[in-house]
Amino acid sequence: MRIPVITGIGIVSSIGWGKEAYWDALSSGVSGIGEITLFDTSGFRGRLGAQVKHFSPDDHFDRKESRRLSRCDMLGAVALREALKDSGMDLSRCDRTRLAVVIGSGSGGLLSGEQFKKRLYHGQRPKPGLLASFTSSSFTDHIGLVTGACGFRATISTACSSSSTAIGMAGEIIRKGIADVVITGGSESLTETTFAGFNSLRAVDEVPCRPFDRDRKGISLGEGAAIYIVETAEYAAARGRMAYAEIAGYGLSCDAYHATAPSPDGTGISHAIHLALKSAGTNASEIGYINAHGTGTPANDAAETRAIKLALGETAYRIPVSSTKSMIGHCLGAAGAKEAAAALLPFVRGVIPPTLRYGNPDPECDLDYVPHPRKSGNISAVLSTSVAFGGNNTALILRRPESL
Amino acid sequence: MHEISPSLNPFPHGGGTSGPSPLEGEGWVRDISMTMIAVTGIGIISPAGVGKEAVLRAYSESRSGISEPTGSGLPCNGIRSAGMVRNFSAKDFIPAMKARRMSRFSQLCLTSAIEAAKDSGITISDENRYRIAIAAGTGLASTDSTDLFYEGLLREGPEGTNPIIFPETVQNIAASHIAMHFVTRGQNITFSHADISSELALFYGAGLLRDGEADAVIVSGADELSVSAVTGYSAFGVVSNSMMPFDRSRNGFVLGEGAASVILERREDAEKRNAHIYCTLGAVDIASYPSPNISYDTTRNSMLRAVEAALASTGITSPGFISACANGTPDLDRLEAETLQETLGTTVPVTAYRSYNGYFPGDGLLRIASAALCLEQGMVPAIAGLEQPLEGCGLDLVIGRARKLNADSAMITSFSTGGSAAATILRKYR
Repeated sequence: MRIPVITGIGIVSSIGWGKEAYWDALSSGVSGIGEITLFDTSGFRGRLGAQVKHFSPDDHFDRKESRRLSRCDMLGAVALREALKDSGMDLSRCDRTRLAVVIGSGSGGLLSGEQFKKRLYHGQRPKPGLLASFTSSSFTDHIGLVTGACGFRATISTACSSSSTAIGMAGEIIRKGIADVVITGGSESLTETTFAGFNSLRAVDEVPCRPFDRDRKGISLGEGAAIYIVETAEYAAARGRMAYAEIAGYGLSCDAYHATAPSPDGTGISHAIHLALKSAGTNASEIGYINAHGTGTPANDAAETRAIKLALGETAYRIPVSSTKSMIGHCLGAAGAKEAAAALLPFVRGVIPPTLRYGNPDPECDLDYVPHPRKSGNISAVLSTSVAFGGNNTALILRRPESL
Repeated sequence: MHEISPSLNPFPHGGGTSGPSPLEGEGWVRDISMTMIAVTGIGIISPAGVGKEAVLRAYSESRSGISEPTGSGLPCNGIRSAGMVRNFSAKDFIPAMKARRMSRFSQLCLTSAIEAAKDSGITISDENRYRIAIAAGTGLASTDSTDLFYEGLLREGPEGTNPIIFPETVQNIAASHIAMHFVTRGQNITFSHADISSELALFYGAGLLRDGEADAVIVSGADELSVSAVTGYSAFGVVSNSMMPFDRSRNGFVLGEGAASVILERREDAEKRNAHIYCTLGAVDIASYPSPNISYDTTRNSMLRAVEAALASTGITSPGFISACANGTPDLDRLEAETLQETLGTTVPVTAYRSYNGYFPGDGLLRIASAALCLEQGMVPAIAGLEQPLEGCGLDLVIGRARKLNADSAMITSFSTGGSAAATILRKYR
């Protein structure tokens, strides 16, 4: 049995740099949603977002490097450094043909692409370098470049479920012996296009998002990165490393219903949860916490609630469900990766992160949404759900390793 | 059990483009027996032709689909030559109301999937819709929609943004349209990893079948030609007006577009329902090497490992023919020629489908589907546009006219900027 475990975590978020700061903020219910300074938001209906503050490329990269990296690449690269250090892995001792990189990407280097386009539009000559990081695989290949990875490499691009799927797939390729170490996760930066896009759909709340609340009006966008080092439990034990979690299983499904709206009956999401349980060889009774997709749109939260009940039955009413998007916003391509780290909070801090601003129960959303941080007790497995445009659903199950 | 062992040839942290090409170490573990996976349907919408019959005709008559691009804003940036899909009206395949809202990327991709599904004769019903998966690959997806949406914002501010266009800008939108068209509710995944996007989709789809997670998989690969794609690639000076893979006067690629889909099933299931089987999968192997994301792996390390892994996992020492990824880029063609010569010698016939369709990052599946058709027909197309093979190349490049060849297998390569490489092997079905 090759059991995939997470031994290194790196986080860049709107509520703190580094995983410890991130977990501190989540444990005490800190919101990163506020004014966006990255670009002009005047004229938009919803103007708030969870931007990563005080990020200056010069603090982390030399000029030559930062010229060809997008903000997405850079946020991710900073998280990567923390994850590698945290894992204590000496890459120079690894067989790098067995080191894989599997990353979920949303809008990638679109922010740089916008700079290129803007200059063209104003009749100026843009620098080609702005497009060097435009492709979805830019960050994945950058990881390959700085770590010397020579093994399997993949970029998954299924909008808001991308990085959750990437983590699931990272576990799968460890299990199947395709690699011995996998660097996985995702990074996302705010862009004008996604900001304007969700606004054009009237899906952005004018105030910070209120997932599962009766008065919820939409999402708050966010950005950041979460990177994980995954290896076999056996190897982690051999080098004396504590694992944060086992990637127990994952499931993918498609609503096949609508490009932007979830299937209201929740059958698509519930099928993904069903497949994840099956893949983890477990059932509802083992799940002690659900980190929901919980965007804060009326349609998502109702459909997701229905899906959880459909997949887990009566047990669903006994499981705390929260949306950490109420603190970090919707990080699109990085959402699943950021939320997997939030889902680990019961393991690492013994705390269930809250759904901030949840106050007014909605008859359609009748689960335990955890308005305030609370002690988790001894939980053995957690579930994280991710739902995307196009009807792509991912459910990821992480298990507390025996050593923890 | 595969322990991490200290590498025999550790290269410097940070990688780089020089250094040794270590083939030592465990390499890619092949627990994947893919011969049980059958290709039972093929759909192609490409510059060479709309529909697999038209495409095959173009290949056998050495007729390239590259022409002067026409349409909104094209030609542009001095580019007067492109692989553009002609004589294609999405409304002939997709309900007009739906087609109207789709990007060209979505239209091309969905149409290829509809053609492939029809070709395979699979039925999708309440009985099996949760058991049918979709795996797609695309390099750039709906570039035109992304451009158009942002232009609205630049022009008129928030008021100028069109909510109908925005959902089309996500890379997984084509796979989503396929799912909605057929109402397939199984796994659905899109890979966007430059030139190996399609291979990743094929790899993932085959895995689902092998593991019994799905009963049929629609695998698609597509990209669209657009002003922003032409503008983007042109900014790096890699686009040319003549496509001459492996030619000594090559000076870049002609940008193309298109889509291909295949239906994969377990061979025993396909045989049980008397489906037509084009070929079986031999291997899909992926390797990488640290390379800047706009450069190829100049050490050829990733290419060599991908090819050798595919050969090793199939036990094939010499495939019947090779569908090369050469696209007229000075670096790529030379690196590929050297890699093929080093691994397979000089006797295997080599063709390059990009000479018929132009280059686009998601074209892996188009080249794989093309190879599947040619393998079945016993034919290897000539490399269109090739006159003077590059210096020192001893490969058996198919020049001038298509060759009749009753091959047992075909290898399809994809070497990407950024350092990823894939090699796929198809086996003739007997």
